[in-house]
Amino acid sequence: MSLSSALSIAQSALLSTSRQTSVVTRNVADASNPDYARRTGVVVSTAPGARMVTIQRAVDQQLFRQNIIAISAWSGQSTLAGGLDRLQLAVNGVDNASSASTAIGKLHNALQLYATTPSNPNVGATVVDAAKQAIRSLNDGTQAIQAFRAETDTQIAASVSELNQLLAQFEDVNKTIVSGTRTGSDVSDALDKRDALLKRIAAHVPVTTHMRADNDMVITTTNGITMFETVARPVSFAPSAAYSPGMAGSTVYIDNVPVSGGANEASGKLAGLLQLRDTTGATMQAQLDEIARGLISAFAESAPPLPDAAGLFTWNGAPGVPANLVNGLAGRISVNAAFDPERGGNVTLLRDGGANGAGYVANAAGTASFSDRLIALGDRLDQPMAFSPAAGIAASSSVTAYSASAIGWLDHARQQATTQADTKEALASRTAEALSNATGVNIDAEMSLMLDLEHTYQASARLLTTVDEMLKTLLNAV
Amino acid sequence: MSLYGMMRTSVSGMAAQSSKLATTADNIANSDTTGYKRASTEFSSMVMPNTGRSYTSGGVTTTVINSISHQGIHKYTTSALDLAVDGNGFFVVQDPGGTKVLTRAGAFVPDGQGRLVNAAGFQLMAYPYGFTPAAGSADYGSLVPVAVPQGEIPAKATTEGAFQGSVPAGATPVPAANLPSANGVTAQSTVSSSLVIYDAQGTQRILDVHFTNTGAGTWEVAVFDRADAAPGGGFPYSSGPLGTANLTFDPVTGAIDPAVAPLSLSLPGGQAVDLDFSRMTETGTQPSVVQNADGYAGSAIEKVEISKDGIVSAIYGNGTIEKLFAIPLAEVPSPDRLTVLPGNVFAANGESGDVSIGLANQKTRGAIISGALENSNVDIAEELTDMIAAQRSYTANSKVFQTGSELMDVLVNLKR
Repeated sequence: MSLSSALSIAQSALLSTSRQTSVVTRNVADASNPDYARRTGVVVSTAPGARMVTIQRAVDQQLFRQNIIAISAWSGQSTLAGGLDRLQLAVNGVDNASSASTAIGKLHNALQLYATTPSNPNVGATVVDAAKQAIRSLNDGTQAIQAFRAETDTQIAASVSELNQLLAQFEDVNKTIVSGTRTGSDVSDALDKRDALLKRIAAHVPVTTHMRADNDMVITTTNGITMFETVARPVSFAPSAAYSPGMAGSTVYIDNVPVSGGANEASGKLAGLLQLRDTTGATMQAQLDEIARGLISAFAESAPPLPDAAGLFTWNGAPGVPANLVNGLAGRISVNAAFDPERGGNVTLLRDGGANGAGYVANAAGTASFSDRLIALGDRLDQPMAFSPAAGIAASSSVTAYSASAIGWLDHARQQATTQADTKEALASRTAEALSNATGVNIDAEMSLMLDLEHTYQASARLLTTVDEMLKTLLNAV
Repeated sequence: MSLYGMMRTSVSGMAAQSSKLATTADNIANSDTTGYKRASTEFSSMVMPNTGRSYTSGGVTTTVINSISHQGIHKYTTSALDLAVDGNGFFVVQDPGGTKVLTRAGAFVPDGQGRLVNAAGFQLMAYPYGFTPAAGSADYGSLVPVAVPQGEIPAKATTEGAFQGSVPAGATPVPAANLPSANGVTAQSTVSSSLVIYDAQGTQRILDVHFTNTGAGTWEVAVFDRADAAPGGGFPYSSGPLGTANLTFDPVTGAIDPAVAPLSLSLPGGQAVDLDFSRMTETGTQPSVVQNADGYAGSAIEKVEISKDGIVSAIYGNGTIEKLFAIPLAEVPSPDRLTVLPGNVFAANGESGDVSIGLANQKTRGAIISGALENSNVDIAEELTDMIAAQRSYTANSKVFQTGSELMDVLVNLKR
């Protein structure tokens, strides 16, 4: 070994130490970046006087996969829980104050009061007022639900467009990784970026990933729909500007295959939104429609063999009484003008009957103290009737009980979604923590490595100066 | 006689030392020149015929020796086109005039035409990939300058693809009238996947592959061209399926039984693609299908890679590797006797023996290291000590001359 080669070796030692230091610096700089995986500079000795540093990136596929599954579940459930919260507030109000159930309860009370003093039309007018309250609750509820569905639809469109953007970015990054892997360059940064994109994609749709040769990744949804293979597959959705009851929302397609929102548990934001728009929104609307139908049939005038005719509560199909679920009935129900003193109606029709003609008059004698019909009306609010099973609540119950169940149904769904969201959030943060422990940066380890490197560098530099001294001695001899 | 002889001898000594100092000067000047080989001076005595009673001084003759066979240490660089030989061989290079010489200086960079030229302006020569030179000969005629291609690689059409994964067991069978193969409005599939393929022009095409359960353990695969899909995607496609196949899965193992031959598709335009479904299984409830196909679109060259064997490969953006040249190494029986020419190149002569050219990394020729350069084999410390010694020797010779001169002075002054 000559002095020149000693110099050259010391020089390459300095180079490899400085490269390792740059790896450590990068690790420390990105220590708080959750998408950054720790790099290790590995020194390889090839020939005398030459050492190369190759950069390795910490990977834990298993933990990463668990993490993205947890992210999907959390994102879906929190979307669901948030949506149900907003829906409850919009439809039922604070403490259910504006709910149909509360309004029906007040109507029931007013009816009982009128039954005790049937001769007082002023008390009768309070019944009509209470009926108007119930109608307002139903009409507002319908509007709120449809507005909520339209808003959710906009969110779906936003989610779809973000998903398309993410997939396009993914395509670029994946291309970089594949060609980088083939040409043997360092693709660690692109891999970090791809993992970060994958996490964001997983927040929208639950995904499964498969690796092909050269670090090429294929993404499918957990239902096997291809999202990315060589190129990004299109995610398409035609948003609707406004929603009306009974209107079906348009479908989201990934790679031309329809995506379903599923029932109960939602995985991924898209599934959560679809479920809110199509399942929750539609079911709640059906419940309001059934409450409206219940009110119309409870207050209907009946005088067999004449057909039942709409009484205090009427709709655009009057005088008939709807027998089955009518989409949007809650938005079209109104107070019969014949009963409404403000519109020239007569409240006593409620006591005597006959709004649909003389054949329906119950108090033929015109007795002022006749209260049988009022008592019968109050009873009918508590009598069981058949409701459509499509609305998701016990098919046979009274209108009063049914409207209370509707509140209970929403509360239950909301509570369940919130509990699930909390559980999934815990899972997501735990898996993220485990992933970070496995692949993240440990500042302590980096610092001690840095000290080691500093010493190596100092030693190499010392060698350089020593060799330099030796050469100087030689030159002085000349 | 002897005084003159003594003076002539000391002159020859001074000349020899100055020649040694000249080689030292050259060595120090070129101590950082890539591929430079140290020159050293060897002395041999010249003896006059002597009678035994008196001594007639002779002189010293010098021979310059180049330590060409002594390998310098490698210095690693970041350019893949920087080459070093780890062994006895030499690169064959040619000057602009076409004269072929040997060198160890491998700092090559592509010129305007993509040819690899080193710092001294010599072009690197190689055999086209696949050519095997005859053993022990020097086939200069077949050598061509190594040129990095600047064009594009043409696209390659997809000829085969494969699907791997599982379809869900216990799926609801689809009635025969609604099967994708019927291509009706009501057609539905159980699992839909798609695959990117390329035609001979490099145009991307997406094939829709529908897996449909037809009964317990039996599935139908129908492949359509996505370009034919109904507006908004899906059924009915404007033309029927490109191909259909039936898969039957073993109820116990879930594997395909009986085996299926790859599904041969004939695409519009005559392209034939074979799709392999033999590794599909029927398991679990969640489908998981992974697809893969060969073929690629045309793409530009990404980088050039040179292997230990001297094989120059172009790597294209789509990952295709094309082997272009094999850089050979030349060898001579006595490398230290090669004629040294300007630009760190060497030429064979009668003393060095004949050149033989063969592929790299074979026999004693050595391997080619990409991303490294061979430093000069000069050691500054050794040169400096040599220089000091030469200086002292020169001074001693001059003292001898001075003594001779003074004695002559005495002699001349004898006569007044």
